[in-house]
Amino acid sequence: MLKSITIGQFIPGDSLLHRLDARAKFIALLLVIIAVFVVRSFWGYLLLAVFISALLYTAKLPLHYFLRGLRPVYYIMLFTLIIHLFFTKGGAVLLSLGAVTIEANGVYLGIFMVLRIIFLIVSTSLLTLTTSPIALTDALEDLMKPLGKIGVPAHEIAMMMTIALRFIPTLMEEAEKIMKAQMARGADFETGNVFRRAKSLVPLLVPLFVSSFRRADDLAVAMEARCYRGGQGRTRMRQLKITMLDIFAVGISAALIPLMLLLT
Amino acid sequence: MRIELENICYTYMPGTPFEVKALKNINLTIEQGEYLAIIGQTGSGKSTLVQHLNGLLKPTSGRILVDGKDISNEKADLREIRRRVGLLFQFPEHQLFAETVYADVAFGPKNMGLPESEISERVEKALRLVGLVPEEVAERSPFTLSGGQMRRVAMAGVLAMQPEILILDEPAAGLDPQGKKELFAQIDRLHQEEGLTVVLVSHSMEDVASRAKRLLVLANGSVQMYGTPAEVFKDAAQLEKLGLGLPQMTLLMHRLKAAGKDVPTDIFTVTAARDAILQMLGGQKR
Ligand SMILES: Nc1ncnc2c1ncn2[C@@H]1O[C@H](COP(=O)(O)OP(=O)(O)O)[C@@H](O)[C@H]1O
Ligand SMILES: [Mg+2]
Repeated sequence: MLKSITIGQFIPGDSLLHRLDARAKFIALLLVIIAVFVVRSFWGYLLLAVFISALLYTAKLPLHYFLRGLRPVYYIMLFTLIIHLFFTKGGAVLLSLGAVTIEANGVYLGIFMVLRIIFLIVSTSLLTLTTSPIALTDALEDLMKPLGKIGVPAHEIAMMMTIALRFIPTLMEEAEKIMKAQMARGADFETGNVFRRAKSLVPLLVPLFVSSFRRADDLAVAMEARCYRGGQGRTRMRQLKITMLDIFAVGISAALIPLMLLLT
Repeated sequence: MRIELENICYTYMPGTPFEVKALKNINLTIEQGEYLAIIGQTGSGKSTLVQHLNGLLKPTSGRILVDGKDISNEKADLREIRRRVGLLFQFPEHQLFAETVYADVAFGPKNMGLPESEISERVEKALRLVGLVPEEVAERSPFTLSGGQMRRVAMAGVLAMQPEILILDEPAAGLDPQGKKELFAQIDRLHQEEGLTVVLVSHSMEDVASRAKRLLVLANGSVQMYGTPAEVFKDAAQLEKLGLGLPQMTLLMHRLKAAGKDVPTDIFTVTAARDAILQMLGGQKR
């Protein structure tokens, strides 16, 4: 039941995308997102579609992981499509039912907007599915380092994210276990109106908070026992290394943007 | 009541790279009034198995019959089954939530929709059954109790529903020797005096050998051995291979026997071993 909630779940693997440096992937993703925002023509969309499909092929992951990522935005896509169909005017009139008309521009724009959403979600999933959360936060910390000069606590932010990501599965597991334990005592989490359901969550949330605080306490003690004092002078166990492949990946993604601007 | 498992298989997260086949083709019948121990190393599937017994997990394949009725059936009343099959999870003190011990123990009976007077009666009885004095603890917050006491409160929470079967998942984990002894004595008492069917999950032969009437040895999600303790302990080599081994006293008796002494081998406790050895020595003298 709780297992169906996956937040950017990482799927271990050995594909080209898995082996790329997380920083390179992160920058490449930003560049692809920019490209998705500036794309203006049919040929641009086609190129992006080919590019992202190629990446999907390279990632060697079953397609249903990506489709699952799209599930939460089905309604947004549908809504976008409908709004454009009915309210964007211009071009040939394709269909008219009294006062309501559907015109060619509406169809184009609607489809393009939906494609954009798909591109955004799929390319983001490409990053999160092929990069371990730890590698991702390491990369973020490294990329944010220059911001330290203007007072951004890059290491602390990254550490908080690492810890949060590390404990999400633990908390889910714990929540599931407590839920089952209460269900074994006849608790009912599924029926009743909003108020009843909110109230039925108390036997789940109280133990969950108690154990979270205990965990946080244990973690703080364990970190202090190992002389953790923040990012100053700290070295890494996993050294991040840039290879030709990484440069190539960022290069290709960067090239997309001028291409999108040129293809009109 | 009687629970039958027929060819139960269970797979966690099927169709993903994280897929785990936790149970493979389990067949088991739990009869009214018996005392069964499920033993296996950590990760062998014990907890997964017991969660099937009250319908918390649905088998990936296979059938579960409670008193002959299939519980994966849409119409099966799972809440009624969960009332009759009490399941105490591992580290049950982590599930306490209410402001007072009383309210926590009363959670189960309340969910059953019992009248207030019956609830208070049951809570009091349950607390006494686990060796707590209701007048002392009922109004305290469960979070102010010691670990051992919290575990007893959690156990009372299950007993207050007056189940017919009591399933305990590693109930002694993390208790000190004294607490462990008391807990097992209480469980034995529940079995003998209250007539509860008991299913005890453990990874320690030492804890269960002397009390359970039957042992089910699990490894890697399948049943490796099944029978009375004496039957199971006959194959010491196999147990060793599964990382379980014999209780110390049984091992001693096996060694004595191997050395040519005339001793019984179905012995699990120090007292029984002492008697057997005394008899052997006495027998030789005469
Ligand atoms: N919620 C879960 N999700 C995925 N795998 C699980 C889950 N619970 C248990 N497992 C896996 O199933 C197997 C059996 O676990 P479990 O039944 O807890 O064993 P035991 O209680 O004997 O230690 C283990 O390999 C464990 O990693
Ligand atoms: Mg277990």
